[in-house]
Amino acid sequence: MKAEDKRNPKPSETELKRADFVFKCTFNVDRLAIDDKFPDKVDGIEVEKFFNKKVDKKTSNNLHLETNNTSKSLKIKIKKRASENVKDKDEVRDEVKAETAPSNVLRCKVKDEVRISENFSPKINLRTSENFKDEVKTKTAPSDILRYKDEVGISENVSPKINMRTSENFKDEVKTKTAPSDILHYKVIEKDEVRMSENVSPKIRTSENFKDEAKYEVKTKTAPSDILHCKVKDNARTCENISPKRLLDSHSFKRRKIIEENSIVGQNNITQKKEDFDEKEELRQDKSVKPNRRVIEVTERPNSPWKERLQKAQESDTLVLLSNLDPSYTSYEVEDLVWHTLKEKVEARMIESSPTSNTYYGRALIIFRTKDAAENAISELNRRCLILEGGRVVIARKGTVTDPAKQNTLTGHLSINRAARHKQSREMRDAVSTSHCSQPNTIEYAMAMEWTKHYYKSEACWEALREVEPISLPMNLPQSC
Amino acid sequence: MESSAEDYAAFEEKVKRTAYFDNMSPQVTESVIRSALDQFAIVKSVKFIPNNIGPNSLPQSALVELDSAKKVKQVIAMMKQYPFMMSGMPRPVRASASVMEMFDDRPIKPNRRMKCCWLDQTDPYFEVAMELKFVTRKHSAEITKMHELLLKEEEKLATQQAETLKVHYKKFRMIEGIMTDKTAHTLARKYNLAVADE
Repeated sequence: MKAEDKRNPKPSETELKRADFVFKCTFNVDRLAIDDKFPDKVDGIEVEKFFNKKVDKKTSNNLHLETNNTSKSLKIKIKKRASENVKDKDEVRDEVKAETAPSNVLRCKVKDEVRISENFSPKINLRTSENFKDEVKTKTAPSDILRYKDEVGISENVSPKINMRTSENFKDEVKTKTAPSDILHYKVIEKDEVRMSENVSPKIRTSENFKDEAKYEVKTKTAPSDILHCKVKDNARTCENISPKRLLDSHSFKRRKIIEENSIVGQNNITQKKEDFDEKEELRQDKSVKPNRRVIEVTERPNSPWKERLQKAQESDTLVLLSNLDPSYTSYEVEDLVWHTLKEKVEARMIESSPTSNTYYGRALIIFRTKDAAENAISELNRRCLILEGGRVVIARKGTVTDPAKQNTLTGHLSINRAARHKQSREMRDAVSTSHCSQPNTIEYAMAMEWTKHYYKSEACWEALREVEPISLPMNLPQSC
Repeated sequence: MESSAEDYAAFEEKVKRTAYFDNMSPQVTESVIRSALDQFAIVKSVKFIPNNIGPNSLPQSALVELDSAKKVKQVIAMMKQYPFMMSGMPRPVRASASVMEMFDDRPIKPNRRMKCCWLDQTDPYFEVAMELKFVTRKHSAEITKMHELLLKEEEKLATQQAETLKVHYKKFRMIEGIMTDKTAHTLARKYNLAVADE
């Protein structure tokens, strides 16, 4: 800032040396004229905010660094962004509500993220930021956070500096009860930091917007530390520069990436969006900085196999067995049926028919979302009667699946316990029974014939059972139903 | 998620080309089936049907897609004629033609309209429906019982055959024994009989 100005706290020698720029004059956007004198208020923000800050002992170095720098280019940026800033303010103001619930805080963030990325639906972001909220467990005092950031702050990685600074600034905001008009001011400061770190303007925009939200978050009564945490993480996302040493951020960042990935996957045009996002990141990338990015390929999310899901469902009591369905139904149709009748979204699989079971009754295994939903469905189907075409009455009961532990051999597969094995030649021992048609001159043929007889017998039994069974309601489903 | 008529027709073709094998050992894998059936026809795909409900000791079953419907018929006919062993003896594998309902990923029949309705207590058919539910439950209990009975039968048969096998084995061991230590030959000389040297 202008060193000579009386209102400006004097920078130290080292700071002067380290400063890249020294403020010389201002450019009035209204009158379009260069001005030597710094007015008392710029767009409603007090001039003190532009000057070198009166700093804490601990953060002295970094803060001075940042506040020492403004330049013409900075001002030009302000000009460019003037209209946008106004818009930002309005938007942010609209979004702010009187309550102090953290969810509102997150909602503000959400809207902004949407603007920034333009590739994610607000829902996703809400989810992700909420996840962040979950991650914020420690309620460290703001000073602690600051200290932490200090230690980490001085690294090669550029944007974490931004992160740090934003949090610091935020802290300042926490102390002062800033009015909406302060938004612009903080935007400016943000630009300072960004300018210093030599990043291209789109990045500024993103971090600025976060600052907007930060403002309003101050007013809400969330713990400042929480917000700080959240902020840091958000910045982490837009900047996408995290050094792995930062335990606090990197972990949450990765989680966020994964969460985003998962939530994104649920949308259409997934890969395309991700590519867009990546491209944007590429554009923003400053050539002088080498970001450590971990690009994730968004492929279809891995679904746990059906058997596992069945097991889980049985453990959590969400598994239901529907029977007396039309055997020609498919799994999708069953899901639709449940949706229309019980108003529940479920996963369904028809049980395959086999010659050894009754083919008249179709059965399906249904996995409900919650235990209550499953119980309600069962009780509903028991209390009332759901009639399908052909007069079938659907029956529901709790599903049980077989233990996945497989048997080793089949009943009926015999083997001889050869005690004198060591006497045999090596070939004989290594011989494996191959698949073959049994020839009539062997013992196994005779035994196999016995088995075949058994098969025929069982088939006949099933046939007999089938003849007895089909009973249905003597009515056709009326059209009006 | 209705499918087109072409998809459905194509699937029906696939069903015709597929044979259903059951009574297979749990040790049977896809490669075993492929190598076993390669001698008869080209195996296109193998799909095991998981046993989610039902007793654990039920044998495995699979749907094997061959290259043509004709081949399927041939294989099934052959298996009926000669017992085919796969990864174990003497229980043979059973083959039959597959039907649509065996495929759980089957497409929906085009132009299918599903209808259903709820019956409340006030409906005149409500009592009948409740009775029907009871009957259906009884039937499913009967089916389960049938399964159990058949399994018991199988186990009985298996143990019986195991006994038979043991006896046969002992017999053959004994024969082998006396042939190798020349007891048979000595006896044959005494009785003036010829001993076949096999």
